[in-house]
Amino acid sequence: MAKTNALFMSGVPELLVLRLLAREEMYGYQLVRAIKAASNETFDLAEGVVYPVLHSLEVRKLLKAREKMAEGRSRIYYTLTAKGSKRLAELSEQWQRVRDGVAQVLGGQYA
Amino acid sequence: MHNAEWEKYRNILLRGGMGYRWVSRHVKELQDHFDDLRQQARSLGHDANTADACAAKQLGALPELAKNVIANTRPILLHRHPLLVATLLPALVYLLLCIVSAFGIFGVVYQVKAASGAAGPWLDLLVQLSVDMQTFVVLPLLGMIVARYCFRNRCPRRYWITGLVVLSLSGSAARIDIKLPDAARVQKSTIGIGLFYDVHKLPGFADGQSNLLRLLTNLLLCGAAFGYSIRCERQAMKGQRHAA
Repeated sequence: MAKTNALFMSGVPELLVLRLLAREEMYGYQLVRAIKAASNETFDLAEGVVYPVLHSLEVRKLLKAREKMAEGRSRIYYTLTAKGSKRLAELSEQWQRVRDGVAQVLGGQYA
Repeated sequence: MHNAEWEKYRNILLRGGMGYRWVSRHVKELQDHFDDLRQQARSLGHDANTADACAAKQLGALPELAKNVIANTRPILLHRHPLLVATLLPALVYLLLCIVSAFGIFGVVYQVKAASGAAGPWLDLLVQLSVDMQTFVVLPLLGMIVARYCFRNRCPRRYWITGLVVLSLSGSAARIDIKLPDAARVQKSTIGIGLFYDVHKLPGFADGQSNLLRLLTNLLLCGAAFGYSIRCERQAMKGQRHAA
């Protein structure tokens, strides 16, 4: 599958990352795979997209990172903060509005 | 993926203004990610070389990744204002420490005098010792912290080497003058802190000694601190390369 166009996807990786991390804490590789699996392979976000997003969210204090041992290796796990949960709610609402708007255009009088 | 490529990636991030601690953590995290991708390729039946190539392809070009990370992040203060942080701030911190320690010494001495009612010669010695500590302990320690922090974060050398010279200059000019209360000589207690530069004579020093001597001492101490921190940092980098 071709990598998802980063420009077209602007803003969406943030929503996906926040949504998946709201469910459980994950490390980078796990997150990349989870995005692919949860979206039925619709999104195959490259590491070049995921890590900058993770870093930017951490700097904005929407995520918290902590080192944890897993399978004999120390991993950096990311988890949502209270601020992150609030941001997720905002982004989800925005996304619903965009989706409804696009659905109206595609399924309405212009279809 | 070769160590040299990871080292290059680390350098791009550091020069781009990412913080040292974060970069160290991130590089380790990405190396783990690379290992996971390699294991994934191996589990699909690829040999070691092909697995390496697959993992590298999946991870993408490291310089591109570094570019994305830098574009999404605000550089640390040192890279935004190197002149302020690396050149001027060390000297300002030193002067602030002089003020704090002068008041600290004065407070202690005053308390002791109030309690005992008499000043022994050891009190004067304590004051002199504390003042000397500024030159021989605080200044090189500060120089070492500055050199290490700037070297780690790949701050251009012109800023922090100038910063060490400015620190040495202000260290040699800073003067703490504490007068203890003395009932016999009707002397009140005073604290004097200031910058004073006289090449020929410096209060607090014996005749013949000067700021120049202090400046040379400071430069020598800062130079030693600089050399020591660079050596420590190079050893740490070598250790990281071996671990990788």
